[in-house]
Amino acid sequence: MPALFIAMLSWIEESALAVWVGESTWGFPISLVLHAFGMGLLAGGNLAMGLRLLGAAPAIPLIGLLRLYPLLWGSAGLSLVSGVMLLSAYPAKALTNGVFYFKLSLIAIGLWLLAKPVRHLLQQGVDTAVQRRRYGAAILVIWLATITAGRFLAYTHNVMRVSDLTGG
Amino acid sequence: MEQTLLAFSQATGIYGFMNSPWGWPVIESLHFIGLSLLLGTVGLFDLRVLGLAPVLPLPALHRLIPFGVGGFVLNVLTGIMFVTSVPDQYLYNPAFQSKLLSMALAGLNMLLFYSSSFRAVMQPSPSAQALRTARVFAAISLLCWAGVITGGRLITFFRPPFYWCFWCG
Repeated sequence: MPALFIAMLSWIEESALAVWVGESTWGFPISLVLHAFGMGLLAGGNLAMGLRLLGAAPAIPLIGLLRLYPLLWGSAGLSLVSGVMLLSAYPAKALTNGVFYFKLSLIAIGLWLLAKPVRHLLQQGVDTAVQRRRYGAAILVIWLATITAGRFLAYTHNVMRVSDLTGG
Repeated sequence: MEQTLLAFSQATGIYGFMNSPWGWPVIESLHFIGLSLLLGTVGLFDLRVLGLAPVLPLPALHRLIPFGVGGFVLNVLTGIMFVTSVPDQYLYNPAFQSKLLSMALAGLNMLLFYSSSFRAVMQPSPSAQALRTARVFAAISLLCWAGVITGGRLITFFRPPFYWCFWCG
């Protein structure tokens, strides 16, 4: 493992944020609960959007779904902040696990879908069913996989702390 | 109680599955997917009643509720798999007990909503009175589900011995 990478992990693990999240009574549980709220609203909101695009609840106007974007971006912000809090306490645990990078890639794709092609689809007002269903399916797959990858992070890690890597 | 639940889990094969290498994480993933479905549909409906995205008609949004019910059923089933497999980590756990209480309150609140202001608020232009009442139900619903999620997430942090809390008996 490169020395610079280990040094970065140590720096994160010793930061004031990491010490608070990792060692205070409420730091970790608060971060976990906030991350669950963020997940429920972001992934859940996306699941609702994906279901609509696939054809469920057709009376929901597509253009109206754009009004859900502030909620989705807000939930993404909450997930990011609480995710950084969780990551700070156990940087070695997440950053040495391939599943973590897989999860981040899924989120990047999911947010890009939302920001670019899906927004474009909702704005154009012309219902092209094939394209709409394709994006709906993609959204469902991405967010179901993100939730699953996140849950598997608790079971697939190789180490917990930086000291597990350095043998210290 | 513990013995009964454990015997059920063992007799049905749930226990064996949950203790297989990927049994627990797979069922947890489904439980979190159910949570997201519930919050993404019922939670969204509540937020809409409270004033989010008024361009989305309530009756149209309500068509997504069956998916939230599906998520809830999924979570009851997966929840039973957790609880019966390690009953002593749940039954005496104040976080789990608070979660059940929040769920019961959410259910009661839902029954009251559907039997009172639901019809009125689903009209094309609901009265101000109907909307006000519905907002109270929506706020209580969100608080209850937030309590359910919080309790659920704290279960792993509070696994006290049975004598830990005064109401655990």
